[in-house]
Amino acid sequence: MASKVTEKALNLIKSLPRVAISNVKDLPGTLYKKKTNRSAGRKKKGRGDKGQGARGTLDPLGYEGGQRPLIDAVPSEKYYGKYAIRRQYPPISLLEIQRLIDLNRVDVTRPIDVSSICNTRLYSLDVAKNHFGFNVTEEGCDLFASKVNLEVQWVTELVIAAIEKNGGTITTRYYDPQCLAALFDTQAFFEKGQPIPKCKLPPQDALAYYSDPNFRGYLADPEKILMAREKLAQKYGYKLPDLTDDPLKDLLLMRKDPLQIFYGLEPGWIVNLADKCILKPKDEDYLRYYSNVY
Amino acid sequence: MCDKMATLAWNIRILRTKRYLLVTECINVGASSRNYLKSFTVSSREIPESNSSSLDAEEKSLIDSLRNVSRMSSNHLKQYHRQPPELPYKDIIHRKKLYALYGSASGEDARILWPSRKQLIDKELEEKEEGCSLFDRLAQIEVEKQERETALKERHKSVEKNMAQMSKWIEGYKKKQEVSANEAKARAAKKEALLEEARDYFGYKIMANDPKFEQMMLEKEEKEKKEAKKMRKEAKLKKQADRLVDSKEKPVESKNT
Repeated sequence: MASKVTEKALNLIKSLPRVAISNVKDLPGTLYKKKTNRSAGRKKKGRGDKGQGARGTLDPLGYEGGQRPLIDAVPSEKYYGKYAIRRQYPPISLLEIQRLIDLNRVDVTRPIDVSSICNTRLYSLDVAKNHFGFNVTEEGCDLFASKVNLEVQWVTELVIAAIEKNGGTITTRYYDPQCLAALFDTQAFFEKGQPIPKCKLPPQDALAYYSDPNFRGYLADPEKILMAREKLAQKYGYKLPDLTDDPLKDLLLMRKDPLQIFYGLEPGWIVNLADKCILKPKDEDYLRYYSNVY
Repeated sequence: MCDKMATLAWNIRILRTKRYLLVTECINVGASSRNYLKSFTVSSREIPESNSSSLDAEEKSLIDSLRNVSRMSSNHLKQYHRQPPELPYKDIIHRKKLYALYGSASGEDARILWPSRKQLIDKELEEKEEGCSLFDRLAQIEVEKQERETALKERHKSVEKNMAQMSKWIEGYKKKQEVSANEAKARAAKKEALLEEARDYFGYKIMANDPKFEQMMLEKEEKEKKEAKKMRKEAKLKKQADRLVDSKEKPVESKNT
């Protein structure tokens, strides 16, 4: 029996392409003549006649001839500290959400989340710019008049009050960058053929927010959230609509699992757009991995 | 095979010429083109019917190749019709991508889309080692919150304690300031007196920074020093003398007693 190495090598050779006209490369140096010895006839080498440029004695960058340079003259602004690694939440106001609803850009018969906002193609998120989702701002809180199930990433108390006053529900939910990219452009994600990732839990400095019932965090105790709803209604002086007899109760109480990023799809599944089918793993190891967070 | 191809090519040529004739005739005849159209429909029905009965897969592919005037490469044409291209070399990434784009028609095994079992278990182990349970993390947040609150409470307590003593400290401060002001006053008065003395001595209004005055002050200081030394010496002598007297008196006293 041939050794493993030999077998692997043979398999590799089998899978490697045959030499053909399409994959034969030109010999190095045949396509263009490499320019060499450019400075043979040149004394100055493109650096001018004489002076600091020719001698390589230019002042260092930022040096202002001895006077205090700008970098020392301007005081450092610490509130911009660690800007590059901070989480960013691009804003979307309540007025804009109301407008999307009025123009039928989003469907209120389904829960509204990042992907439904991004699917309007009017708002975009960029993972490369440290975007972690939407921040719903207070503008238009008096005009907001829709009963929706909203799931966003950052809110204030007034926004929560505006939505709950109209009989809606709101959740703040953390998505890690990989999941957010999948939510932002779902088709591109499915065309990669990757299994749907399990969403990571928020980092330690964001965990306090996402487990706070006052901000309707998705990791908060549901009973505490109910209490916080009552409290907020009393604070802002509105009557909290009763959800028990509501015909839209199922819609309003629809929540994703903390690991789940798409409604109706579980982590580990693969959606194949060509075959129009969902591929699900059945192996125990895989099921265990995709349904647990450590 | 050759014969078949020849007949097929011939048929197609006939079809093309017929169509050409029809078009030209339509243009020429104009309003009365209905009859010609009829004739075309009949003829065009006839030719495919006669062909389709005898067409097999080879012929079909041949017709397709003749019909294809796109001048696309075969792989591009396949991709245009949503069929997987034939790649000379496919690594795992290519194969995954092919399955994602073309589904089971790509001929790949769907299982390659997931990580291998070893990769998965490694990942799981890594997550287990790196991760901390949510319960612990929430507890940590609670502990930090408590710590912040206790620190704030302690600070408030110390502020209250200090505020209780505030009036006392302000009084002390004012007293201290008064004492130092008095001292400064005394020093100024002394200096003024010295200056007055110097003015009497020199006979004109001498300034404090005058070298003569400074000289005089130095001399006076020396004089005072000398006097002080003298006084000390005298005191010492007196002490010694007293001691002597005591030592002479004591035995007498003892004898007496």
